[in-house]
Amino acid sequence: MDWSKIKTIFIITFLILDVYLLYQFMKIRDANKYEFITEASFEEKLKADEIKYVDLPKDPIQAQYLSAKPKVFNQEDVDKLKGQPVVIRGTGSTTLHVTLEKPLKITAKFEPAELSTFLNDNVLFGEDYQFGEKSEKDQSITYFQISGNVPLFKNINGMITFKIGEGNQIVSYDQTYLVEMEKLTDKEEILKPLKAIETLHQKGMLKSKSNITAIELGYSTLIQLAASQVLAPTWRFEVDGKESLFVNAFEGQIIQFNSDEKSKVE
Amino acid sequence: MSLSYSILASGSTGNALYVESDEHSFLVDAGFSGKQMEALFGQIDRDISKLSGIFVTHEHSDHIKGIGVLARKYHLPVYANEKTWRAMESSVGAIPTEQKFVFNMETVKSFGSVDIESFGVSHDAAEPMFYVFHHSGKKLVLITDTGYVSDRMKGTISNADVYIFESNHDVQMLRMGRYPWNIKRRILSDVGHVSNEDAALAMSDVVGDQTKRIYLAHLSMDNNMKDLAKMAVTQTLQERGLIVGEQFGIYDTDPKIPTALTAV
Repeated sequence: MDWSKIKTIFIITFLILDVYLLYQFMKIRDANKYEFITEASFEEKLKADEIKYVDLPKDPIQAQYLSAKPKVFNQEDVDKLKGQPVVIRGTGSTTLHVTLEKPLKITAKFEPAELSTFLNDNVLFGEDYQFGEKSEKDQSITYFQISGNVPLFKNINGMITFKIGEGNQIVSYDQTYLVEMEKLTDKEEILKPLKAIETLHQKGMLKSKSNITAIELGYSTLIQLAASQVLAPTWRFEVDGKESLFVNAFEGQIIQFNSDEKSKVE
Repeated sequence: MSLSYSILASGSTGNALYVESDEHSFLVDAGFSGKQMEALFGQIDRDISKLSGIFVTHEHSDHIKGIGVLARKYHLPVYANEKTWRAMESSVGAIPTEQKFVFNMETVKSFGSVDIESFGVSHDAAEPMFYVFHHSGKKLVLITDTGYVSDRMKGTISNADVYIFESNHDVQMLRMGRYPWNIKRRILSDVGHVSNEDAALAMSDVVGDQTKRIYLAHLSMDNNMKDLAKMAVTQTLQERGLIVGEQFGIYDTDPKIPTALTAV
């Protein structure tokens, strides 16, 4: 075999090898491109469904499981509420029912500021609650207890429910209060809010053209024990300035608050 | 003359219990590699080669991983019931026939002053069984890996001095958790594991005036927490009129760290 033939064979062999390597390179590049598209696709889907949302926290957030006990109210607590008819309710004495001697007029639109002075001056631990929701159906306004600057969402052992009577006046309230808040575990990174939004979207909880108007991290009851409860970090998404949706910030499960399931500790 | 014990490790990653009298020492399950088992024995300052026998509860890997290695390396007798022997044969490898002993369910074997009694549990294994150690009127019970605690089991384990009792999961955490549904269903079934609450209800039926210590064992890493298990068990027992801390105490176990060697 002469040198020229050997050269030709080498050139052809390397050409084939080059074509093969180029093919492999293109395949890998396409795969990477596809992965990138997949990652981006959820935000694209939200855009396609015209779902908007406020700025999301970008830095990783850490939180932990907590435990707490419902406060047992006593005569000493009642005595602090001078001049207000108070009844301690429930077999475990965990609810204060207070009737206002002078009903408190609120506006039809209601702004939380309308109740802040009353809360601070007339309600036990009033500074430990923040506005939660107003229910036209139940004619009530609910304040959630806060702990470490974060709210305890819809916690039946940590809330104040103001009852609205005739003439848009607050006539009474029921108060529960959680105490002995303790850390059960070390801090761990929680789910990013976008991941929680993805869960809500996948489960059909976010309708197209929805607008997530507020995002807030708090805690909700995970486990209700006989005399205490375990609280898990929870994302709250306010949709269109009205409805609130909740997602467990560790496990990503949607939380459906149900008064029967999360029965009150007494 | 006393009986002492150390829960070398407890959890879904591996289980092992060490028990000793003045004349004999025993290991129940060896759910870790040979090296890890040697390290656990090192932590309680005991010698594996001096064991009188290894007692197997069932063939799941978190209970038998180190059985074959330890039996071959230290020439230790291994005790299991016939069905468990058949089920674990391929996993533990060849063990010389003279080291293989059959210990059937609901029978008693005596080693000097220690009587070891086996009893059946409800778990998805060939023939799962656990053990009660009797010594000088004292009683130590090991019961994990059971979907429920039957009246028959309660009869066998009642009024022990020490319980090492499964408190596997919190039902709500398991339901909320990431496990696939078939695994959740298996854990919650009658041949799965007992929850904190069910464990406490069973405990309330079996603790007696002799009971001093209850160890909460085989806790799920994903669906339970040490403090939660303790709270749930304590509160359920209190609801049933049993005050923890008065007559008996509730203690933790750990998936990696042995409990201190303690006399029954």
